[in-house]
Formats: sequence, C-alpha cells, structure tokens
Amino acid sequence: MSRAIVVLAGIVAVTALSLVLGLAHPFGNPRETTTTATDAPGTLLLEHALIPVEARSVLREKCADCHSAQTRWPWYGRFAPVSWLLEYDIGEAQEQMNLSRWESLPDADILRLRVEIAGVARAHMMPPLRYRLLHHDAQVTDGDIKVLKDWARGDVVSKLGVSESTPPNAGPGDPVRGRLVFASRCGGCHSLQQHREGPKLGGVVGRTSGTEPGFLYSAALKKAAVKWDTQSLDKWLADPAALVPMNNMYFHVAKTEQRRDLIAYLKAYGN
Amino acid sequence: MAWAGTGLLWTFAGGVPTSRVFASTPTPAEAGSFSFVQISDSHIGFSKPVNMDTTATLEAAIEKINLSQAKQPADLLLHTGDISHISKPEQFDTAKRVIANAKVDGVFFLPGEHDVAIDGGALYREHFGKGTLGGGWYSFDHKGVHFIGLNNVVMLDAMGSIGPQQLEWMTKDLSGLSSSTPIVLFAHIPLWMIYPQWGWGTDDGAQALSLLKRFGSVTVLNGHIHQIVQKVEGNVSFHTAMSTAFPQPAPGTAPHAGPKVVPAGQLESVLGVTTVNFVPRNSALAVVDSSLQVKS
Repeated sequence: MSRAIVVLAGIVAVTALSLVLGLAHPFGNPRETTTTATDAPGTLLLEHALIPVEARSVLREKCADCHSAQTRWPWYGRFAPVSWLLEYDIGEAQEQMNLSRWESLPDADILRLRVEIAGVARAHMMPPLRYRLLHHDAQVTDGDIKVLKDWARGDVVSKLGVSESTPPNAGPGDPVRGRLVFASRCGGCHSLQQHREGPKLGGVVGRTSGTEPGFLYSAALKKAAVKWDTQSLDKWLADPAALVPMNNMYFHVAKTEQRRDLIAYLKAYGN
Repeated sequence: MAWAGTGLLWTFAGGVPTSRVFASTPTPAEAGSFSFVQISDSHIGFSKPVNMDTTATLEAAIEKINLSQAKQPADLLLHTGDISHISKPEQFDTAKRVIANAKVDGVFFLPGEHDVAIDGGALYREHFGKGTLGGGWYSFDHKGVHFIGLNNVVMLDAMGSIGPQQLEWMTKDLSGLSSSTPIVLFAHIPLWMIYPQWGWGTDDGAQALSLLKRFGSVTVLNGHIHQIVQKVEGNVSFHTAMSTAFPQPAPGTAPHAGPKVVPAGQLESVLGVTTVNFVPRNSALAVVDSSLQVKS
C-alpha cells in the first residue's frame, strides 16, 4: 500500500518537475511570435495570399504546424524536455520559412520558396520523419506533390487563387525546369553561391556585368556594363560573343525555351 | 602533393607510397603485367595566350606515348574528359583524328563538362560513346583488371555528381566480382574532395568509393583540375592527371579556378601524360606521370 503511494508521489513529482522545467525555454519560445503584421489572431493562414486553393490547403495541413505562427501545440508540448525539442524545431522551421509572413515576402523569395517547397516535398524530405511518426496523416501524398509542383510552375495566379500552369513553349519560364537546365548547361562552371571557374550567379538578375567583387572578369565584359535583365540575359545566353565580343564565356544555350526557364530559375534565386 | 616537371615513378606497397626518378627505372616485364596510359583535358578548340594551339600539344602527347611504346608498351589509352573545349563537331573530329594516331590496342573516353554543356552530350556520345550506357558510363575487363568509367559531369554548383542511376548500375556491375579483382575507377572530376571551394570534388563520390571497400586494390584516375594531386587511403590510391592543353592554379592560390598562364617556354613542363603499370602480385598499380618536356 505504502509502496503504491511512493510510486504515485514519484510520478506526481516528476510530472510537476517536467511542467516547471517546461516554463523554461532554452531554445526560445515560438509561442510568443503568434501575432504578426499579416497574421492577426483569428485569421486563416494564407487567407489573402495569391496561392491556388489546393496548394494552400496542403501548406496549411502539412507544413503550417512548424512553418507558421499557427502551431497546433500538442498536450505533451508543455512537458520538458519534449517541449524544448518542439520549441527548437519550430523556431528553426519558422526561421527557414514562416507562412504567417508569406504576404510580406519579396517576390524573389516567394518564387524561390515555391521551387524549394515543391523540391523538398517531392524528395519526401518534408515533413521530417520525427514529425510524421507523431502525425500519421502528415505524409505528403502524390496528389499533394503534384499540387505543389503545379503551383511552383505556375506564373499567372489570379486573385481567386487559381493558377494557370505554363505550357513548355510559352510564358515567362519555369524555374523548376530551369534548375535542370542550370545543372546540365551551367553547373560545370557556375555556382549560385560562390565564384568557381565562372562568377557566382545568385542575384545575377539586376546586376551589372563584370561587377561582382572577387571575380577576374574579361576587360570586355567589364567595359560593356550590361544590366542583366530578362532581355539582356536571353541575348547573352543565346550568343555571348554577339552581345559582348572578346568575353570569356564560351558556352551558350541554344534553345529559346531553355533560356526562358533558366532565366526564371535565376530570378527565383534573387539573392 | 602537386608535382610538375620531371618524371617520377610512384609505387605503392602496403599503402606506403615511394617515388623514384622515372627515367632510371624501366619496369621489368612480368607475366600478366601490362601498362596503360591516361591523358586528359585536351580542350581542342581552346585558343588563348596560355596555349594558342591545343591540337599541337595533344599531338605532342600522342607522339610521346608512341615513342615510349618501344620501351614500355601500353595496351590501352584512357581519355578522362574535356576532349573538346566547347563540344563543337569539328573539335570532336580533330581530337578523334589526333588520338587515332596512338599506337595502342584500345582507346576509351569519358565526357568532361566541356563535352556535354551545349547539347547534354548528344554529340559526344555520337563520337565517343558508342556502346556506353546512359550519359556515357561503362565497364570492361582487361587482363584481369576491372575498369569502370563514370560520368560525373552533370553538375550543380560546379561540383561533380554521379547520381543514383549510375551508383545503382555500379553496384550491380561490381556484384559478381571477387574482392581480389584489381579495380581502376576513372571519371573526369576528382572523385574525392580535393578543394570543394572550387568545386574540385564529387558530391556523391564517397558513395561510389564505399562500394569499393571490399576490394584489395583500387586505383582512381581523374582529370579536370589540370595538375597532379595524389593520395593513398587504405586500399585506394587516388590520382589526377595533367592536362594536354593548359595548367590550372594549385588549390587556393588564385581567386578562382581557370587557365593559368605560365612563363614562355614552360608550358610543356606542366602538360603531360600518365602511365599506369599493373603487376599482378602487387597490391597497387604504379602510376607514373611524365611531362611533355621529358622526351621518350
């Protein structure tokens, strides 16, 4: 009898201690970030975002628990050390992408994130395994992946949130396809993040030719001072020597639609 | 690590590399032994002050190979990519014509990123990839040695990558082999991380190498960086070849990779060919580099 009381008292003491420790937030407390400019309490997540309805519901159901300020905290989320793990993970997730702030993001970030979301979903890298183990319905389905892919490809999104997918030979280009073009046509010499044999290409759209610090450009390209936009990049990629004679880039991209997709990809990776 | 200039003979015994001056050490002919030659990065079509005529330097390399055939016959010639500078048909044609003069029994090619960047490798495969799989990978056996050629030039961030399809194929390709089979693995981009800041390595190279753990003798031959870098790790010896066209700076000695201009008259000392000698009872193959400056 007294033994049962000791065990019971022990459980109560451990639970209490866990709750008290749960009041501490060694990795920060994401609960405090609930209210933001674009996401007042009571509003629906992404309600006014220009995202197709189907993609929006995938984001709400499969991503928003960690990637927004609208986390549905589970009952065990108050008990340390589980609470600390959750707070750490959610803090990291919000840092990477916070859907509650979606509408205040610059266009370039939105384009980039769309491509990344579709990519990690397709690779089943998200939601992560530890989340899926506790949320059996969180696994992205093939249908979800298609929805996200179409969304990442879509360039025209109406106010109603219905997207029109871009056919391969028309429109402003597809950053997802552009990524593959980049890998097979540019990746041998170029990186987005740093100079390789060619200069780094992250943020190239809007830049002036020959100006990125730390790269040894040809005199011709520096002198030409081309402002890189859709038109000039298309000309350059079609025939670099025609646009800037005596420059150091030997390669070109022959196909119009590949250039269009490539430029869409470079735009998506604004910085 | 990096070496350029006169010839050295590297032999590996029990994982310990030792070197001797190349010219003084004719390899004794032994039953079952053979040699093969590696050339790389001929960049036909490249024409800049560092080397205005890459066809001539490729011709010099082939001539050098033919001259040493009398002394130490090589059975095969491997070209580890960047055959052309920008994948133009006439560049491939020129390379093919010059390399056809090599007096060897067989010639094997692999694409470099310069051979595939315009058309995804269609023209390369037409010229050099007959009978190869996928993007130009294949394996073959020669006198008891198993050769595997990989295409690691579909790249992101200017770093090599092999991809799951090839790794799967490689797993199958190795499955029937006994662990005592000597393996020669060759690909354009270095399969180990030489200098990731410049993309001098292969993203999933470690995966390919892990498939080779059970083999007693593995020789990895690469190009791409236009200089000699070698390393021995357990049963695996790694080696990158000189270019036949132009040198590149040593890792970290320039803002970024690219052709390196050398003083007039010194170009031949930094271009060269690699000879690999296989002797059956030795655990590792001897890799010998000699620059174009060293005649015969």
